[in-house]
Amino acid sequence: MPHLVELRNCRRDYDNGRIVALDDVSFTVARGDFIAITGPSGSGKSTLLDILCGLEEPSAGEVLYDGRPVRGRTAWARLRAARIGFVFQSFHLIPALTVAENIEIAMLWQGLPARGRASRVTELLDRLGLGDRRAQHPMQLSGGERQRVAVARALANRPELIVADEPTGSLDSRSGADIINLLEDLRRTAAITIVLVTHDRSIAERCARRVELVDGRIAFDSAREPVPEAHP
Amino acid sequence: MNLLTLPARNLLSQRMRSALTVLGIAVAVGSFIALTGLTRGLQDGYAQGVGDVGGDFVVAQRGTYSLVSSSISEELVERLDAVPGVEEAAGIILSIAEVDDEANIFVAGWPDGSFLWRSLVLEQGVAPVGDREVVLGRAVAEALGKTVGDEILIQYEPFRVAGISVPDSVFNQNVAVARLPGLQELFGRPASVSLVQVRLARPVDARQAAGVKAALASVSPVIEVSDSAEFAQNMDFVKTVDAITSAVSLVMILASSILVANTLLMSVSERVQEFGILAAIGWTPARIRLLVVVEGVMLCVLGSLFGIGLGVAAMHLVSWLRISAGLLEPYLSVAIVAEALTWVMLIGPLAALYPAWRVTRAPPSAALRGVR
Ligand SMILES: Nc1ncnc2c1ncn2[C@@H]1O[C@H](COP(=O)(O)OP(=O)(O)O)[C@@H](O)[C@H]1O
Ligand SMILES: [Mg+2]
Repeated sequence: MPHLVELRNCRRDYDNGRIVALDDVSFTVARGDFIAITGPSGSGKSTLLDILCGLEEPSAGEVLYDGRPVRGRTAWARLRAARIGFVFQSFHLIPALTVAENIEIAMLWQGLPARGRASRVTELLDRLGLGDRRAQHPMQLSGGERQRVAVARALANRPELIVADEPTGSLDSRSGADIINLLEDLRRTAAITIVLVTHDRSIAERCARRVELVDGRIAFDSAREPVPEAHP
Repeated sequence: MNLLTLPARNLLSQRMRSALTVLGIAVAVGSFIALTGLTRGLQDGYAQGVGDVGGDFVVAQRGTYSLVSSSISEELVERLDAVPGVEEAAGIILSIAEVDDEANIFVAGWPDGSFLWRSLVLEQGVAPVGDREVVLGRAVAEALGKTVGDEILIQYEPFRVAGISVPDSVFNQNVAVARLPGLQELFGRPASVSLVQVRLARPVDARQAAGVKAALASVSPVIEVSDSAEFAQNMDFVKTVDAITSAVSLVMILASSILVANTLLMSVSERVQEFGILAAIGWTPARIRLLVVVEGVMLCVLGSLFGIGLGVAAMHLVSWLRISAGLLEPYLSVAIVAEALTWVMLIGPLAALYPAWRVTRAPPSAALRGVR
C-alpha cells in the first residue's frame, strides 16, 4: 500500500531563492501516523505542512498523495475537501457565518443534500459539546470553543488525514489539552492520520512519531532513527 | 446555507457601501429605462400621429430635421395631388407654439375640405369655421383647463376653442388643430406647408401603393416620401435623440460597472483570509471566483429592481412637467426592461472578473496569512 503522503525532494524558496524555507526535504506520512513536527520558529514547519496538503506548491520536487502525484490548485482543493481536515493556530473561522454554518460550508460541494448536512452538523456539535452554540458567531465564543468548531469543521467530510498547525498555540493549557485529547481520541476511534506542528514538548511526547526541523531540513525523525531517550 | 449565503451576509455587513452601489446601478438602469422609454414613446407618438389621420404616405422636405422644420410649397402639393392613384394630397402646417404664456403644444393647420377633417372625432363642439378657431385634443384641453367657447392664446394671438377632439394617438391628443390659412398667416409662411399627407385612392393594394410612392418621390428631388412608421424613424431629429439616448445609456452602464468592480475589489481585499479559509477547506478556485461573481450579480439585481422603479418615476415626472409639448409619454415596454436587465446582467459578471481573479491569484497559504 502506498504512503498516504510522500514529499520527494521538496524545496520551497522565496525572494528568488534568497530565503529557503524548505531545503530538499523527503518525507512520508504513513496511514495511522500520529506525527508531531517541532523545531525553532522559522525552521519551515508551516511550509512543510502547507506543501503536504497543497496550500503551497513546492518550488522543486513533488508531492504524492496516496501514491499519485498531485498538481494544480483545483486538484488539491478537491482532495482537501474530500480527504483532509485542517486546524490552525488562529482558528480561521468565517466571522460572518454562525457556528453551524462554519461547519456546513465545508460540506457544500460534497453532494450531500441540505438535510444530510444539517444532521451531520448537529452530530458534530453534540460530539464536541457545542450543541448550544450552533446559532452563535465565532466572536461570541472562547478560544477553546472556537478551536473545537474548527475541529468539527475539519471532521465534517470524514477525512482520513488531519493537519494541525500549532492547534494549541492560542489556547490556555486546559483548552489546549482538551484539543489534543480530542485529536488523540479521533486517531484511536476513527483511525484518522494526524500531523501536527507544536512548540509544546509535552504534546510532542504524546505523539507516536516526532520530526524535528532545523533551517528547512529534517534534523531528526523518530521513524528513521531510534528515539534518543531510548538509548541506554 | 447555499451559494448565496456568504455573498448576502457580506453585502449586509457592509450596508452603506452596498446601498450606495445599488443606488448607483439603480440610477444607471433608471436613466436607461427613462431615456429609452421616452425616446421610443416619442417615435411611437410621431408614427401614430401621422398615421391615424387617414393618410397613407407623408411627404416631407428631404433631410428635414424635425416635423416642424420641413417646408414644402403649395405649388408642389398640387403636383403631388395630380399623381395617378392619389385620392388627395393635403398640405398641412405643423408647428410648436407657445400657448397662454405657459406651455408648448403642437399646432396643426389642415386645408379646408380635406380628408383629414374626417378623422377628427369631436367630443364637444364643432370643427373650426373662422381663422381664429381651434379644436383642441383632449389631453391639451385637460392640461390647460379649456372647454368649448374659452379663449386660448396661441403664439400671442387669441383663438376661440370651437371643439374638443378625442383622437387615438397620444400625439394627436396633444395637438391643437386650426384651418390652414389662419396658421399660414400666424406663422408668416404663406403658400407654404410643412408636410403633405397623401391619401391613396381606395381600394389600396400593396404593389400599387409602392408604385404610387415611387411616382410621388419622382415629382421633385427636394422631397422624401415615407409611410408613417418610417417617417418617425427617418427624421434626423429622432435619430439625434436616439443617438444621444444610446450614448448616455452606454456611459451610465459603463460607469455603474466600474462602480461594481470597485465595490467588489474593496470587498474581496478585506476578506482575503476568508477566501484562504475556503480554499483550505476544499473550495476550488472556480467556486471561489463564482462567489465573487454572485456578489456582483446580487448588487446588480438589487440595483435593477430599484432602477426600474426609478425609471418609471422619472418618465412620469418628465411627462407630467408640461415643457415637453405633451409628446413625452411614459412608455414602459417589456422589451426596454429586458434590454436594461440584459445590460445589467452583463456588467455584474464583467465587473467581477478582475476581483475574482485577484482572490485566487495567491496560493491558499498566503491568503490565510492575509497576503494579497
Ligand atoms: N511567503 C513568504 N515569503 C517570504 N518568506 C517566507 C514566506 N513564507 C515563509 N517564509 C520564510 O520561510 C521560513 C520558514 O517559514 P515557516 O514555514 O512559516 O516557519 P515555521 O512555521 O517553522 O515558523 C521563514 O524564514 C519565513 O520567514
Ligand atoms: Mg509556523
